[in-house]
Amino acid sequence: MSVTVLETKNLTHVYSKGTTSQVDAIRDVSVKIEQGELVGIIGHTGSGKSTLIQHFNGLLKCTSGTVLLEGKDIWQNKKNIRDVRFKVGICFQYPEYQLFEETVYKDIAYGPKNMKLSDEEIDRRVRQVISFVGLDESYLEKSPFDLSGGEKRRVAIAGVMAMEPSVLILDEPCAGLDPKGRETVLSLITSYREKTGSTVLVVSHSMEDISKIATKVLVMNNSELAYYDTVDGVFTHSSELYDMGLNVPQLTMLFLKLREKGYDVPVNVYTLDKAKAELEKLLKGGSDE
Amino acid sequence: MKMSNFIEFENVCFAYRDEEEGTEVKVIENLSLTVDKGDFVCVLGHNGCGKSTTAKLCNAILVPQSGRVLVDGIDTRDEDKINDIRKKVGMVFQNPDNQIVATIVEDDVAFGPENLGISPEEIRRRVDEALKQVEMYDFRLSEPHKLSGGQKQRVAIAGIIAMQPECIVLDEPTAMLDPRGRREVMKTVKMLNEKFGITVIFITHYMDEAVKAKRVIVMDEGKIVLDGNPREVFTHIDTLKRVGLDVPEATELAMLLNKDGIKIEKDVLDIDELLDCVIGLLEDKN
Amino acid sequence: MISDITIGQYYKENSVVHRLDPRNKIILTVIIIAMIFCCKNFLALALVAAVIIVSILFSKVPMKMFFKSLKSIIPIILFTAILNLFYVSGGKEWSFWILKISEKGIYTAVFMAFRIILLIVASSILTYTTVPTMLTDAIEKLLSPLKVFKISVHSLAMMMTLALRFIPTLIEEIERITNAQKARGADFENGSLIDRVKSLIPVLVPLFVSSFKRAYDLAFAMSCRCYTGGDGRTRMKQMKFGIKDIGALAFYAVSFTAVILLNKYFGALI
Repeated sequence: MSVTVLETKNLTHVYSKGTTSQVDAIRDVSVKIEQGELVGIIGHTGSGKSTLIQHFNGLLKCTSGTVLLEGKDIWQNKKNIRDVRFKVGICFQYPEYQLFEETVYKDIAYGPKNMKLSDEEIDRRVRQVISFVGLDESYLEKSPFDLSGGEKRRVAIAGVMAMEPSVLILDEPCAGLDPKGRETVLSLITSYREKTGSTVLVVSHSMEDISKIATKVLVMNNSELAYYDTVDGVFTHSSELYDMGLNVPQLTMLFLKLREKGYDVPVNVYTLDKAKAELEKLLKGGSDE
Repeated sequence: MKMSNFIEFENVCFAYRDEEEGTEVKVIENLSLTVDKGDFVCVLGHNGCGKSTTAKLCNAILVPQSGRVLVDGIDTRDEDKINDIRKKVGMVFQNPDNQIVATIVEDDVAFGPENLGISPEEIRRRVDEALKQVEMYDFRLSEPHKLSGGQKQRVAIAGIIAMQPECIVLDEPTAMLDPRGRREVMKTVKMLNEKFGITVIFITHYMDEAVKAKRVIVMDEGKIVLDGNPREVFTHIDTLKRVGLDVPEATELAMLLNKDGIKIEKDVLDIDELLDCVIGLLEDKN
Repeated sequence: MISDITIGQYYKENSVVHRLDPRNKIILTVIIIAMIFCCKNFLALALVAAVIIVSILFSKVPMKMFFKSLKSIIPIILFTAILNLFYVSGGKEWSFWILKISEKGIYTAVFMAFRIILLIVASSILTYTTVPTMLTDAIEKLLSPLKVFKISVHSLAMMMTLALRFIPTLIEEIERITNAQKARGADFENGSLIDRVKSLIPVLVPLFVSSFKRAYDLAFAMSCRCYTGGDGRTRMKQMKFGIKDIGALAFYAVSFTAVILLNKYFGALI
C-alpha cells in the first residue's frame, strides 16, 4: 500500500495584479505524491514549476485550494509553518549562493540549529550528510568559499538534507555543472533516497536525467498540471510534450521513430544498455528468419 | 605568416598564483594552437581544465607567462595595442546579468561602440543592425532585467557585434540558460558565423552544442587532448569519458553495436543519423 | 514588497517633457525647487502648484503615478506638519492639556506639508520622464566644469549608472537568498531586535559574496568592450538643446518672476 505524503487539492495561486514581477502562477493543481517516490518535475520556463514547489513548504501561500502534508493542511496553524519547512526541505537553484558560514560544518548545521536540536544530534547529522554527498570529514573544517563549484553545490545540498526532511525538493540541482558534476549530483540524489527512504522531488530541464532517475514524472504546462504518471506513461506522449516545448529522451525518440516506421519495438527505452539490447534483437533477429 | 591564421598560440604557459599557499597552479601547459579566420571552434572540457583561461588569453584579459599569443599578428603582451585586440576579438561571458551595463537594451548595445569613439550616427546604425541580427530589435527599449536568460545573452552578443569584431569568444554562454535559451544562443552564434563570416570560439561542456561546430577541441589539464571535426572527435569515446565528458548517446550506441559485431556507421552525431543507419541496415536485410 | 518601490522609476511615454534635453530638465527641476523655497504665502505656493500641474499634463504621466510616489512619504509629511503645529506660535492660541496650538502654527503646518508634497511631485516629474542613464549623462555634462578641480565626473556618473542598473538584480538576489534561508528555517519575523539583526547575516554574507563576484565579472566585461574611462568616448544619444527647451525655460522663468511679485504684494506668511 502506498501512503500519500504530500497532496494538493485545487491549488491556485494568482500573483497580485499590477506588480512587475514575472507572472508564474498556477491554476487548479490537484496531485497526490506517494511516500518514497522520486518524482521528476518538468515543464518549460515559466510553466509554474517554481511556484508549485514553493507551495509545498509554505514559502508561498496559495490563493485558493489546500496543501496537505501527511494528511494535515500546512496552513492549519500559521505558527507551525516553520515546522513544515523542516519536513519539506527545498534546495533552490544554484544553492551554493546561500552558503555563508566560516566552515562547512557550521553551514550544514544552520538548518538543524534552527530546529533547536541538541549539539550531539546536530553533530551526528552533519557527519552523516557530508558522507551522503560524497565528501569526507576533512571538508568540515574548510571554508565553504574555498571549495570548487561542484563541492560547494554538494555542501549546500547537504545543508538541506541535514534537516532530515521527509520530502526533499531540489530545483535544478545540476544547473551549470559539467558532465562529471552532474553525474555525481544525480547519483547522490538516488543513493540518498535509497538510504533514507525519503520522498524526493527533482525539477530538471533534462529529460535524459529524469528518465534515468525518476519513478514518476510530473509535467507542468502553462500554469496547469499536464501529467502526473510513471516515466513510461509520460514519455509515450511525445507529440504532446513537444507541443509544450518539452522533449522526450533522445533514446526514446529513436524507438518512437522506429515504431512510426512500422517496426515492432518497445518505446520505454531510457538507458544505453536497453537500447543496445533492443536494437540487436531487431537487427540480428531479422537475419535469423 | 599565413593570412588565414587569425589567432595563434605558440607554446603558451599560464599559471595562477595561490596567495595563501604561495604556490603556482599550472593552468595552461605549453599550448600551441591556431584558429583560422571564419572557423567555428568549440572548446570542450570539464570545469578547471583550462578552457576558460584559454578564452581569456585570446583577448589579452590574461597574457601568457611564457610563449605568446598573436591575434591577427598582434602580440597580446603589447599593452599599447590592447584595444586594437579587443576590437577584433569580442567576448561574451557566462552570466548574462554581469555583463550588461545599461538600464535600456539599446544603450547597452551602444556601450562598446561609444568606447571606440565612433560618431553618434554610426553608433545608431550599428546598434540597430546588431539588434536586428540577434532578433532583439523589438526589445530595444526594454529593461534588461525583464528579459529571459536567452534574450539577455543575445543582447550581450549584440553588444559585441556592434563593435564589428572579426572574432567572438563565448565563455560558457549557455551554462546558466534553460534549453530554449541555449537553442536561441546557439542559433544566433551559428548565423553570425555562417552569414557574416565571424570567427567563433565557443566554450561549453554541452556535447549537443559541440556537434554543431566545424572544429572541436577537447582540453584536459591545460593541454589539448583531441582536435578535429566533431565526427572524428566523438568517436574517441574512451578519451572523452576519461576526461570527464559526455558522449552523444547516438554515437555511443553506434559504437556499442559495432563492438557486438553489428556493422553500423560509427561516426553518427545524433539520433536522426543513427535512425537512418538502423533503417538502412534493416532494409538491406529484407 | 521591496520590488514595489516607485520613486525614481521611469514612465514610458513619448511626450514633450520626455523629449526635453535632460540637462535642461535638471535645471528646470532646480528652478522649481528654488521657487518652492522662495514662496512666502499660499498664493505663491498655489501658483507653483499650477506650474507643476501644467508640467504634469504636458508629460502625459498619469496623476495616480504621483500619488503612488507620495504614499511612501506620508509619515514624513505628517511628522513635519505636527512639529510645526506645536512649535510655531503667534496669532490666536488654543490650549488643551499640555499642548498649545496657535493660528500661525496651523497655517505653517499646512504650508509646510504642501511644500514637501510639491517638492516630491516636482522631482518625480524629472525621474518619471527621464531614463536613469540619460539622467546620469546629463549630470555628467552639467558637472563637467568640476574637472578643473580634478574631480572625475565621468567615474561618478558611471558609478551612478551601474548602481541603477544593478538595483533590480540585487533585489531579485535578496529575495532568492531570503527564500533559500527560510527553507532552512531562518526566522526573520520573530525574536528580539538583536535576534532579527543576527538573522540577517545569512542573507547579507551571500549577498556581499555574490556582489563582489558580479563587480569582478562586470569589470572584465567592460574592459573587454574597450572601456577605458571617459576620455575619447562618444555617445549614441546626443543631447540637443532645442526650441522646446527654450520655451520651457521661459515658462519657468516667467513663473519665478510671478512668485517673487506675489511674495512682495501679498506679504509673507512665514
